[in-house]
Amino acid sequence: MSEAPVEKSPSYWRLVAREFMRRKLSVAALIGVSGFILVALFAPWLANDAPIVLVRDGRVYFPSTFTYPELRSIDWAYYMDNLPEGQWALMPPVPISPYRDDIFNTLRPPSREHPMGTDDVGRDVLSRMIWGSRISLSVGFVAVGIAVVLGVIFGSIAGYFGGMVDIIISRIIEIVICFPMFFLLLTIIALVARVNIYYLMFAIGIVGWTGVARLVRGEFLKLREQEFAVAARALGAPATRVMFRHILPNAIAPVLVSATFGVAGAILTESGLSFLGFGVPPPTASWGSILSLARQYVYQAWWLTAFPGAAIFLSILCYNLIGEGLRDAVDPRLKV
Amino acid sequence: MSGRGDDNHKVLDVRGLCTRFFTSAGVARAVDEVALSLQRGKTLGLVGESGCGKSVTALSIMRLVPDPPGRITSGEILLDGQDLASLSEKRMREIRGREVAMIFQEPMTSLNPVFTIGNQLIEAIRVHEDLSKSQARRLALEMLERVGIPNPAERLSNYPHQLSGGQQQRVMIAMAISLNPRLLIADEPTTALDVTVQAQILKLLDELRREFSIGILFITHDMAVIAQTADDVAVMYAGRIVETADVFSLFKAPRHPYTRLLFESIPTEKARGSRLRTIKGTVPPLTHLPRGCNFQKRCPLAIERCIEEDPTLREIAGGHLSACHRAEEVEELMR
Repeated sequence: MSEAPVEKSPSYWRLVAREFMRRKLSVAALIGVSGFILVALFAPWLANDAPIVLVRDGRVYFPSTFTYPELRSIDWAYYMDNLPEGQWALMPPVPISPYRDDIFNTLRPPSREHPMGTDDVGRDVLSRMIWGSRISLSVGFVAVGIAVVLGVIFGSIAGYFGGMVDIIISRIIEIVICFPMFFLLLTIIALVARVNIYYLMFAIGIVGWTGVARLVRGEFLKLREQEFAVAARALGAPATRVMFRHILPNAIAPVLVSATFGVAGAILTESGLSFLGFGVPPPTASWGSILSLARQYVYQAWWLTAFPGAAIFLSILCYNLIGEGLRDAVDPRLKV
Repeated sequence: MSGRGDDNHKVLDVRGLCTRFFTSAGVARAVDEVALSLQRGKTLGLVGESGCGKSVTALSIMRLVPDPPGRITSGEILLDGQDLASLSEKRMREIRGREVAMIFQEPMTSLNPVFTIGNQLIEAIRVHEDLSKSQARRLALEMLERVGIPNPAERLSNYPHQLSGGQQQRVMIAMAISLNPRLLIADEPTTALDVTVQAQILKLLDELRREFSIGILFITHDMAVIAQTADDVAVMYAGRIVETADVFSLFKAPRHPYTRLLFESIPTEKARGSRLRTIKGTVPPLTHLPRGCNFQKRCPLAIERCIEEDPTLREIAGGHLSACHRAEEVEELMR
């Protein structure tokens, strides 16, 4: 490895990145997760009935990206099978939308036309997997985002101010932890009439903040006694500034590590909820809901279990490997 | 408050300051009826062994005692006649850094490890002064240059761990004086540094004191440092001031057995080869101070009266105060 010139100053995060890059398995996992994220981001152009580009009557349309008033009445599946003369279209790699059913082709095993087979109403499993990754990943990120924000706020207040404030917040954390998370989630979901994906994200977020809060509290307890925190106050910085500008950046590394593990946990939780039928409402596709369907056809249709199961397994494995790599990379004892 | 007038030349005047820590083991009298006064452009040395309340005194003046468990229970802290003890927290924040600045023992940990030097200096300036980033940067550069940091422009983009201990302390000093405070509290600023660097830092502080006529409250446990830097000295023991005098009278004729013993525990050329004298025992627990004099258990001159009666600070000679029943005899008896 080539060393930078003597005066060049590598920042903390550059050191962490360098350390992380040494771990091949974690880097592979990072590539894997990036792949999942790309698939989720580009789902409309990867699996759709509508073409990516359509040239019609001398005009260029992007039907999978935008909606056009003059094309609204078109049934794309039928239209593409009978594409009029003189028109040209570029189809997505998987030219089937996740909602197009086909009662003549139910529970078909993987074939050239349906690489991951079809489900009980003839929908293409690959297409549903691609769109399902959006649900799984966004639930993971948003839920963990909510959990981290709540955890950082409560944890830093408890750790920084200590005393009565700390006692009250710590007791609240313990009370929340005492509930089995999964049943708390089921209860919250049972309380709302119509579940949608945002409720799920929110619910997973508000039961998951306690771990982050305890972590941040511990870091703040340790860091607030450090002289730089006292020095910042001696320079006249107000409490919020000392907390969030001086102490938090020093406490963020372990939070990041736990957030990475948290994403894996949230994906698993969403899959579990969907599997039990408490997740996203049909016909929305998510990995968990495909698995849930598979339950009825375990003996007839192995592909319904295998592909979503593998996707859940792989993405969680990747997040955990990233988390592990990050945990080792931010460990200050490995430096010098 | 007598306002301006005769108090005008006193930048700091602490009267009857009491700070207590309310712990589960009892109430600790960390600072007990402490009086200090410091003139503009002078240095007041505050000495005493570990745990005698020096740092808590400093934190009390800054109103930074961790609360709970600590609290200033009584007393006045007059900064140019304005009582800091009764100010609101908001008003106090404006004073911290701008009028009273503080530097600490461990320069390594007093700088935030995740930000560059420049970042921290510029922020410290901009908390108080309505300056643009580039103006603040220019001031930061000027200050780094003033405290003797070579290549200041390059140093601005360095992280604390890339600087030596002495340079880190110089950066802390630059940060402290950048807003031209009236009072600088230096809490053992050289203890963590080696002797040659210590001498440089002391020299720097002395120059800055003259140049900006800053009053410096210099806290240390090192009598040699006091001899070099202080104009006046206050000796602290178990939360109290036991002796105060100008530095010459104190070194010439200490009037408290504790001060006397502190002198004897300095290694000297004359005593080379013989065993270093130490003060036997330790500071009594601040939660359970004895009746009578706090120093009675360790004092070679203790008499019946020291167990019965608490000595108060009284004037022995012009401007020389001691809290010992036998202050007049110390010189003679402890030769």
